[in-house]
Amino acid sequence: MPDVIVVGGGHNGMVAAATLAKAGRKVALLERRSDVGGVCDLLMETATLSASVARSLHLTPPEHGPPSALALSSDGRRLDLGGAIDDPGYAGWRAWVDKARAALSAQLDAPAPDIRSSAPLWPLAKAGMAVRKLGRKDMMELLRSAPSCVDDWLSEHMADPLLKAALMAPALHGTWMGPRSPTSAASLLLLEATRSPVDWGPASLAGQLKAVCEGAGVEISVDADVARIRVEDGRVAGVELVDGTAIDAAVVLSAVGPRRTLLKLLDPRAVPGKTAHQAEVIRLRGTLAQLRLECDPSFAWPADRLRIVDDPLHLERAFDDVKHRRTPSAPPPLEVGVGCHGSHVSVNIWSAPYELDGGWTGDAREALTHAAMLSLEAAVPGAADACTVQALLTPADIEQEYGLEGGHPMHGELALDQLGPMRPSMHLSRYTTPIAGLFLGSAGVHPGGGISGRPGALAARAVLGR
Amino acid sequence: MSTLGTNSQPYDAVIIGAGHNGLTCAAYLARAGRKVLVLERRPRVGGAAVSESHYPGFTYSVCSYVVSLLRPWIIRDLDLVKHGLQIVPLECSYTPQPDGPGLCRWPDPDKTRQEIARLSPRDADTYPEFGRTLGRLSRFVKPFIDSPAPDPLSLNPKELWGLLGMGRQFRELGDDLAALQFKLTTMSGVDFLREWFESDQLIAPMSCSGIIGTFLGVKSPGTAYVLLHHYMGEIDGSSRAWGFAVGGTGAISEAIASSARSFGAEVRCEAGVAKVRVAGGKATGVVLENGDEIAAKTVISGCEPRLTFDKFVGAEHLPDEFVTQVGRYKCRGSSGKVNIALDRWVDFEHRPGDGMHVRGDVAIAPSTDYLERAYDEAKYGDFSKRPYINLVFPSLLDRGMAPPGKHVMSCFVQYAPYDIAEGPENWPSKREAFGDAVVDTLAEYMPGLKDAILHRQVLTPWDMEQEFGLTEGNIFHGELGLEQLLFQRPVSGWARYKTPLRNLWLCGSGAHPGGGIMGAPGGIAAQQMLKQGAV
Repeated sequence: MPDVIVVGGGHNGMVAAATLAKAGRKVALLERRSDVGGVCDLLMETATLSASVARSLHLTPPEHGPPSALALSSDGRRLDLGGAIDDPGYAGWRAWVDKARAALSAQLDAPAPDIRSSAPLWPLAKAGMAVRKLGRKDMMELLRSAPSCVDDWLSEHMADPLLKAALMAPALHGTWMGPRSPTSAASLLLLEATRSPVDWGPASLAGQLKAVCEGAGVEISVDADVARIRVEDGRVAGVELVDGTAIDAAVVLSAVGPRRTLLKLLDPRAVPGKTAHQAEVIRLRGTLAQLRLECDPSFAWPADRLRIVDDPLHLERAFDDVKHRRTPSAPPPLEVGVGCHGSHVSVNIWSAPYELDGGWTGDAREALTHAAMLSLEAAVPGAADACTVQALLTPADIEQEYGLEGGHPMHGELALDQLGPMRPSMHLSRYTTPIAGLFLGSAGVHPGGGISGRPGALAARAVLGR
Repeated sequence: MSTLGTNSQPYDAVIIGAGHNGLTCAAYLARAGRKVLVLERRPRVGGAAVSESHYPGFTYSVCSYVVSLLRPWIIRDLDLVKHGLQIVPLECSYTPQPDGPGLCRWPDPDKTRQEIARLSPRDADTYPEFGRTLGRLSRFVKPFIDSPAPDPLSLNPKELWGLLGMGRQFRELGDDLAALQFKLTTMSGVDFLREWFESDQLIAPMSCSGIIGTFLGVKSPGTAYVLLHHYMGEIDGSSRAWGFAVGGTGAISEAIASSARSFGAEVRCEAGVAKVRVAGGKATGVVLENGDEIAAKTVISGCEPRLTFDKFVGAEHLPDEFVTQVGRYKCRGSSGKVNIALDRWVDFEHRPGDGMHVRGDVAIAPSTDYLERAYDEAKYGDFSKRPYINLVFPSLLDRGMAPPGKHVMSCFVQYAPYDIAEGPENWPSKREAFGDAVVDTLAEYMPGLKDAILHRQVLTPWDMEQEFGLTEGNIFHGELGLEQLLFQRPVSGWARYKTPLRNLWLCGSGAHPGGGIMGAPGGIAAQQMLKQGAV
């Protein structure tokens, strides 16, 4: 009988499992799909993995260095995102962000400050003091910029539309916002605060985490679909798989998203009404669709990662499509990864609404594919001919295939009211739940994000009582 | 040439702009025995809170048309009722639909409940509870609009003590309300309301309060907060926070002006200020457009901050960093105003008559998608072809606004961006097309409208800038975004009415707590100046 069952073998589940196993716990990791890795199949940003997680699990940085990255516009403009960015306003902005990053990133490797009225005030004051170290002027600037629109914020510093769009595009992933949405600047700040110099590559990171788990003695079961988390007398008793197998354990750490955990994996009678309501109102409208292309190996891609976007307005119009629940009204911005998820070329379209009017029918899929291929061909001439579409995953497919509620790869939109001590709600942000022995350890809890490993590590620490 | 005060004593304070805040500030200073002069560029006082006749027999509240949170302590201190102020509450809120009865929220909670129950029984149950909950929260927020903005970054023990007290009050709200307050401050109106309600026909009109005067959509984060304003000082569910001033909003300004004069303040119209006079790093008075100079110990601007600093003062007298910050101050105009004189009453197709349902405000907000589409058009530089319109029929509330049997219709229209694709200076050539879009939209709900129109006055954001000095036509002297509120209004570190130019103060809506006919910026600014011995 394991000490801890970790439900979900995404990167956070693996980080949690490995952390617990290294601390001497007997851990069973259950993954519904036939391989672990979860959203490492979908996301491309991996320079966001916590350095402290990497250190504590002894991950080895990739030998090949960071992948080449380019921003490309449909009118043929290019910007090397890996090189020195030659823009008069950029340097000043970057310098300020680097300063803010130092104050913010420390907050991300620790639980969010507890703002509940029952919590002691001292840690809260300490967290406040840590951020105040920035100094009055920079603190003021932080409080001014964070709630603003990312487009306004960047426009105060720089003029180049391609540069601005390339900087802000990844910050909008996982939000339900466009560059003209207030508080979108906070998402960029958060993303910048999580950036580390090492880009792990999603596929290789998943492989490494799996090896670390196995090395630490985690018992990984794939094709192990958890039907429910068993609760007896208000305490976790173990899990039951879809095939009827029961596994007993006194502690279950769920890395599959708070809403799914609380509303789908638990008997509704075991969940207090208030908690159920908090889970119901988590906003997680997915906007990610992925096109997987098989490409002629002789085709020369301009870089390993491409950010295809014209300007901030292009991103705003793409968000309009999301907002109005429709397929692209114009060729959409794209994020392209060559070889980051295996042999295929991944094309991420971050403007595909989960709640598409009429649903993701064959026609809708066709319309999305067509629009994305137009964008790709305009930015990388010849690409459309060199590639054939292998698969399209719409947000609905992503929900089905990866078990992500709303097709949302971060288990909850990144928005100020769903971050920090409010992720996913004030009472569920401590990694614990009202059900004794049940812990939350997905990106749906602080500090959220894409591939960071932080929520998994922090949840494991909560289990260990540290 | 320098003119001094009438009895050759220089003024203690000269106030730029006789808007309601400038007048309020003047009244408080005069009441404390200061010698005050208010200078107004237009022929009458009021600024954007002004009543005028543009067609014989009809009175329009030209810009601002309802009063939301005029502070009770100001009404009391300045004895405004004695000076003619009379406010009628707008108790009803009607949202017509093009093809059905729409939704009416009545002063009677039971009647409202029945209306909402037709859309969703669940929402009907939730509605009163929602009102009570927001009412409780508004008690936490209210002190903020009645006192200077707190400074969270100060190390001054007195400030810290104040902050601590605020923190304690926040915790005393309890976790559920505290979480709600957090959500309210950061979420979009629609997202926030969707946590409570399911009917889009109910959510749409409720969410509109958050977009008025701001260049955001109902689904933009940060627009939920204004919902609270509707629950300040009300009982259970009906929106009592909105009122109509008998005589139009100009009557409010007239009452404040009358009060100010009774305390000895001097108010001079058709006296536009060209410059703030600066000598030795201090404001020493003003130069009028006609070249006259007026000396004063203190200069107070009731005008919008960018107008004040860019035009009246000039960057050369201000620290560079401050100038940069003022340059970043957002005052994107987003709304227009159409005032219509009607030959007769015009029925709403699905709710005829001039009964209670049209004696409050009427919102053209049939769905959240409709509102969001209206915003999208403005985002890309055009006015909304099917805009959000907030209608009030002043002649139903005050018979004096129009001749017998005839009516005035006041239409607040969103969105009309200042920065249209053709450039703001080309607004005049689009003005009538904008007016037509408003009338066409309304005619879909009021089929007989077009034939009944005697006169219409169309105000675009460009017109509001030219005529009323509202930079970019922003009705609140700067957007009420999170980054421009409280201790950051108008800019970080200068939220206490003082400015980097010595002896120059702010008292308009560009200062804390912001826009709307509240009088709070003017009142609090005056109190602060007196307290600090600045005037």
